[in-house]
Amino acid sequence: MFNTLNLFTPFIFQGIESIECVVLDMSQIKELTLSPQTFQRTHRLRVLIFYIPSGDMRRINVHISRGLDCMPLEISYFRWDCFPLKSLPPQFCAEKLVELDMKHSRIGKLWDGVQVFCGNLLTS
Amino acid sequence: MIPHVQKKGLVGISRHIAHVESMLCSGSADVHIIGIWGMGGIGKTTIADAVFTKVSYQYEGCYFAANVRERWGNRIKLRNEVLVDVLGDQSINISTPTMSSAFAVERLKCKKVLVVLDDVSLSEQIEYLVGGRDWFGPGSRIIVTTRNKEVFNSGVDEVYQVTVLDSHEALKLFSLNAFQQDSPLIEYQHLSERAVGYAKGIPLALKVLGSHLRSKRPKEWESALEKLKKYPKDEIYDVLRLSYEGLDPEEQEIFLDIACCLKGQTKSQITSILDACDFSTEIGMRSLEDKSLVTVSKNNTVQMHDLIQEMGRFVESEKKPGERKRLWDPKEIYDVFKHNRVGFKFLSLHHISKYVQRISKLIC
Repeated sequence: MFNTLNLFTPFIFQGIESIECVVLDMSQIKELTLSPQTFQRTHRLRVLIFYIPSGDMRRINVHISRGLDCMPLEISYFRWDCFPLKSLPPQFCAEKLVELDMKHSRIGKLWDGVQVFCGNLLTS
Repeated sequence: MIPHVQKKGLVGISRHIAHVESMLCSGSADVHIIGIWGMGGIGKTTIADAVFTKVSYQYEGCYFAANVRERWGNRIKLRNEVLVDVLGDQSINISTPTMSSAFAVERLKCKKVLVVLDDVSLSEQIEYLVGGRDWFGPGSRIIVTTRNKEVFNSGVDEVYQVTVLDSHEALKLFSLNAFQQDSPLIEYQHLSERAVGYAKGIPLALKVLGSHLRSKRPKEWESALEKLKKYPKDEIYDVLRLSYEGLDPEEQEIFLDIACCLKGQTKSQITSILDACDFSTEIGMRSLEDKSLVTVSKNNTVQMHDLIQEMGRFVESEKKPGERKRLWDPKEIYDVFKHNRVGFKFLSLHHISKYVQRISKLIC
């Protein structure tokens, strides 16, 4: 007979591909370690906001221990408070980027190599 | 940060303003705390804003704290803003969780201030942001608006309850938004009365419904009103949802982006972000403003009434996995990134039961 899980299997592994905007209040979640493949299937992502509202930027609870293998290509707004890496992943695509906001991050340099912009980057 | 008050929204509020003003004048020579209470969309913020604008010249320091409930996560910054503005001194920084700057405390005690705390949801917010009665000088007034009357249980001196508009006022507010005049056009008289009946005297619903029906033909009014009749009985939600359904697909996307993710950003920021995503943002935003779904505040940020935002987020969360575009709930996002999948929570009961029905048909 069918068990409940099987009934819903078609739903479980779909859904991420359609996501375009993510706004995460990082103070509201537990410790989270992102896998290098985190953004592999979110190729439509255009707005990413990982923020800490309280102004307390010391506690980093979103970790990227093994880097990020892929980054969304369509991204136009990228905000990540306390971004834990020293530079953006080489796959970071700034072609449609309008705003890059990385308060209190450990960023030393933004990226290696050359980036193509569409010419409307506001601030960095 | 004072919300933008539309002139079109100022019907029937003069009596509210007069009443709140008289409450400000009466009361002791000490610090006096006044509560404004009523349901969402009834005009509490509009009243508080109008009173604040009218009487603030009588005080030595003033501050209008908008959206306290939303900003509570960053309360230290909010309190700092209140005190800096009230004192008119940019050099103060009370960034510790307890009020410790003795210097600031002494100066506050000499000031006669007016502070509005808008949309308070917990009584501790009053205590935290204005310290009860001890912080400010004689004659100071604190106005607190809330949907939750329990907020006033601890130490508010007087409460004013905002009631819905009467049918005459309701028709006037509706007409200002639908026809840009005080009363309905003759051929729309009966339709307007029916429409107003659905909005139950709630100003937000009247404005959104009036804007939605503006420059539509009687036939289109009929069908809109028929839809409202069929919807479940949450008047204000139904009216807001109807207005959303009337947007074109691109306007719907812009609306949902703002409701789910971008509310509170500046207009120019939102425009450039969405332009980069190939939207015609300028036109879309103008249409959303025309329909009273978003407002641009005096500091140029894009604002949306919470009830409208809730409606937008509900629309988004009802989408099936695979059609879902926006995530904002920390728990959902945590699940998505932890397990790299979209979980069951995205499924409404409605979707699940449809799916189960389909499966059981296949089995039988």
